[in-house]
Amino acid sequence: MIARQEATVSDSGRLREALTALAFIAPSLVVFWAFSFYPFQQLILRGLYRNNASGTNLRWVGWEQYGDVLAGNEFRDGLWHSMQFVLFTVPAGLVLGTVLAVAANRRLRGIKVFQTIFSSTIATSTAVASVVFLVLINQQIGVYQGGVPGFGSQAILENPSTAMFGVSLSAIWQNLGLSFVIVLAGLQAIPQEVEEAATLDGYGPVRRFFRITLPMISPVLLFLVVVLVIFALQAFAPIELLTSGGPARSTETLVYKIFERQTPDLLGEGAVLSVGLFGVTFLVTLGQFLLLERRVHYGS
Amino acid sequence: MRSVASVTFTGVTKRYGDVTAVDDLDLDVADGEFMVLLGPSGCGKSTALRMIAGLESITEGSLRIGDRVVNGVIPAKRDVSLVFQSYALYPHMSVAKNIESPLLNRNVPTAERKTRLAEAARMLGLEPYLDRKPGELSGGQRQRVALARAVVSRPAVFLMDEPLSNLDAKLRTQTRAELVDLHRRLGTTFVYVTHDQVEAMTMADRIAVMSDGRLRQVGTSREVYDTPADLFVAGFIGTPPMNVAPDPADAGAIVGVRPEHLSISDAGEYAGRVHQTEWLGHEAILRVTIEGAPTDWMVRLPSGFEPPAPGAPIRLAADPARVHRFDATTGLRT
Repeated sequence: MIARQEATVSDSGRLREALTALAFIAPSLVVFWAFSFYPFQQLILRGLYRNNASGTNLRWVGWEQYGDVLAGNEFRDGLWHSMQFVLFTVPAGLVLGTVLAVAANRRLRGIKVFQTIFSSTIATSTAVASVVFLVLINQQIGVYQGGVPGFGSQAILENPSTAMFGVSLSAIWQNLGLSFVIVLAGLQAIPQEVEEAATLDGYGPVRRFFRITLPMISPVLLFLVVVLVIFALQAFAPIELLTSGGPARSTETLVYKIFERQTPDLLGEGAVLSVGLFGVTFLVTLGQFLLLERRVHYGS
Repeated sequence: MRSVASVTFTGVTKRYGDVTAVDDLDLDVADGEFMVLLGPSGCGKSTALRMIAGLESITEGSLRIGDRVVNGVIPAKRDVSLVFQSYALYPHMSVAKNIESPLLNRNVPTAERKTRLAEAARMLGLEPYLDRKPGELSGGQRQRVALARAVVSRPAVFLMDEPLSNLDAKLRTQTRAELVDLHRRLGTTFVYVTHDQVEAMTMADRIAVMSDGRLRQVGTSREVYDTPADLFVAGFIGTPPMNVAPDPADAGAIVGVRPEHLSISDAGEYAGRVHQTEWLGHEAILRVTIEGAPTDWMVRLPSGFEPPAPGAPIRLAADPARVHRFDATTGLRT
């Protein structure tokens, strides 16, 4: 009898608990629905229509537009330029961030000054970073007005073969602070005793870095790769400010092409490109996790 | 042929800015000896150990391992192994790789490496775990991996920095005995740091008691217990610690009596009042407030003894042969 009573009490307690839990997650559900799920659903739907030049006459075309756009040259070119941007910015950002973090990860008087300087680009806006590089490598006003050796004498941003590299420089520089801070945090989480044990075990500085330090910060590096790739796929401002997609459309990334399709007649196409970019980002990130996760060591 | 592995501190001092962590340390650890550096936190014992390992530089004085002065020798070339309090295993490597790592960096031929790995794993009962990662092991198993990593390089000197403090009480007692066995089997010099007097008394050939960066006394467990060199050692060694009070007969002296050398007697020379009694099964501890003593005195009584009630007046007699005397100013034994 008593047992039955207890069971009833605990059941109604569970329902109450579930309702309370729902009340607690309701705000984030609403925000997620309003700002993520609903717009995304609208984006997908928008891709099912074609517009006339004034944007008024929505015409249902089903998945035909998806097929046309995602198999078309524009998407392919945009994807290729986005990938170039990823290839230029991510490995360089990763390596430079790690080098700076290793250099600044010591107990020296005044090291905080360097740590602050190295991380300062986090607080720099993309616009400022782009203007800095405009002043550095622009053909007319740049400190360096030449080209990349081996790619002709045209200024870096004027040459279709090197413009993407020029734009990447600005992004690398701007992301350096973030890479530095994240890698430094990873390095500082390595117990000092492990480093000391490695010293006693006879690991020299280089061997110690590759055999002990690098594996121990691998979770942090995986995170950084994922974040930097997503940043690179989403980059817009440095391209707009430094090259506006040129010269000869050589820096038109997927995001830039989406931006160009804001005219009423091209909204449907832009929506399809956006969904395509989402798919690419999703697949690339998933791929990174599947490929790299096996090589990442999560410590005990 | 094993090299002679004595460790000799001669006037060794370590300063961090204005703070002196180790002050003019002279200590001789004999070849094959199990030496325990004992003292409270911040007494400089770990710093002394880390100086032997080469992880701390020496500000003044000289440190020798065998007949070689090692002040300027890098850690890997000192022929020592260190077991850390946290074990400091490499979390991304298997147990086998962890144990082998000192050999991998010293160009030991593969065949010999495998033999030595197998030997160390067998000695510490780690054979079933060689392919696991440290994260999959219990605290006690990790501790044994750390020991195996130290054993495998066959160092001249074993250094251990509070290696048992992360284990539970039962495992600690068991591992203590295993370490004594390990020392006997290897016959190598052990320098072991702890703040736990039970560890020190049960394992050490000799104990070096330190406080405030200074060496207070070096001796066997019996020596530091029976004839403490000063008031610090008298108070630090023994649970409960030695009872002290100003000598009523000599203003410049302090007397000390261990709890087990006191008895209740109407003719006793120390008058007091019972404060509390603690019955522990195998014995009872009586807390007695003694006139003139800075703290309560502790009296150890056999468990069959019926302790007097709190508040009762009481007189305590000390075994005259077991009364210690210290100088009231210097604290040194007189």
